[in-house]
Amino acid sequence: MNALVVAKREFETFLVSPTAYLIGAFFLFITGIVFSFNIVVYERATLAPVFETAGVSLIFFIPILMSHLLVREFQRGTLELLMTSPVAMWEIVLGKFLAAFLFLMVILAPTVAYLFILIYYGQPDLPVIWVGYLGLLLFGGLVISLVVLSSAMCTSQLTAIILSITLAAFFWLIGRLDSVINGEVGTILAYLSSQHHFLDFVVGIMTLSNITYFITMIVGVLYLTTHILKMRL
Amino acid sequence: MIEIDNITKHFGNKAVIQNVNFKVEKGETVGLFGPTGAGKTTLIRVLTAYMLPSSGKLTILGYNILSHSHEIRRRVGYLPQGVSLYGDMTVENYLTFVARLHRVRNRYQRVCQVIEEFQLTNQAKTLIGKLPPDLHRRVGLAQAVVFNPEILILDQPTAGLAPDQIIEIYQFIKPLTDQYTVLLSTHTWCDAEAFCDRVLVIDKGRIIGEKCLKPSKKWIEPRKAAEAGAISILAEALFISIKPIAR
Repeated sequence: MNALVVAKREFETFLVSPTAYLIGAFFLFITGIVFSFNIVVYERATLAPVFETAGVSLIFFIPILMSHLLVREFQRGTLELLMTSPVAMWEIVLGKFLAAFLFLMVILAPTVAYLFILIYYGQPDLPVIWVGYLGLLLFGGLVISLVVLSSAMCTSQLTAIILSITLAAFFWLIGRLDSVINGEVGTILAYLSSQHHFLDFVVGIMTLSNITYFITMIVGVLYLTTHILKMRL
Repeated sequence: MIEIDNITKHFGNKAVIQNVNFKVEKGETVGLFGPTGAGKTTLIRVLTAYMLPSSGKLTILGYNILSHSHEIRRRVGYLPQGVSLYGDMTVENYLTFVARLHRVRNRYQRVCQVIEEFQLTNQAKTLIGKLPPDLHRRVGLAQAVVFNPEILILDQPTAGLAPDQIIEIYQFIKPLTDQYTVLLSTHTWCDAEAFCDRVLVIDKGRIIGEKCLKPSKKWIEPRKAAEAGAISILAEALFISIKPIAR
């Protein structure tokens, strides 16, 4: 599948990007502070505060790190050669998404060290923590898909960053409106909220509804991206 | 191998390509000659399935562009105008990437062979972004042939190069015209003369004339040149081509 070939190329680009490591290090610095604070001050053997902070941080870090994905292809004109190769538009979009998702895993990987520290000094609830990680990956996947969408719509990286942060923040905060808007509309808004579903994972609640939400959103956004790319050509 | 039947391409209300018809036979090297803005690049983008035609029928290697664009992309090597390549990849990695996309068998051997063919051995591990324009163009040609295409489409292969670099790149393009069916666009008559068996003169989105450059073939009369209102470009083409004979 050519999506994997595209993903491999893109992932290698992330691996040699000093900016990517810098942003990744800053992300780990923030989550590290929260983890230390949680251990030293509250003495709780949980990663829930780390996941919550990581979730909010990803809304900003992922767009800054990854909004070049399609914008750069347009700016450099490299999309023309890619599009005249036997690669379908959806394979390009999926390839970009997979590369970014894999790099997100690379960034999150060092946070597993927090888990080992918790195991060494206390008795953490491991299933809850793994569910939290799954939630973080799914939420990260959603933000990445919004970044890919934004980068397909914009002509500059800066506008792509602003648009993707706006979209990710919109889906994060939309659930807050259910306290203002009652009835079915409020329920729908609450369901559309990524925060609502993500926080369930953070406290160890893994339901089919939560998983379906993230997967449907990711697939839907990537599908929309493919169509927008086709329209731009 | 290429059959274009009444192709038109609109951008909004503006027709950039209008009722273009021509055929390219196997083994031929056909030039699209015309001034900047004549519609050469748009026509080539339609031929490479990068853009779809607004109307008309386009068949390449028996495949219709609308229904089998994927099959066409598998078989057509393309050097775009300006040759935008991934500057953050090394020459070797980039050629391997293209070979992977085309599922080339014995990928490693083929990439090595192409690197040698285009005399890029010393630059194989160099980032493409750090190469001078002529080597950059060579990498562009190498990626167009790395998967052994049946047709080669070159969009202004010498544009933007210095005279000495043009002479050098000629050495790499000429053997390709013997090996493949080639369609190349140019606004330099020297390019057309150097490589082409036949030249189609294009202006304002229309083919206004057609001329055979091989001594063994007959000259073909200009088509509707006056109607297209661009006889000057054709006259220029004829003049320049006659020049060597006058000497």
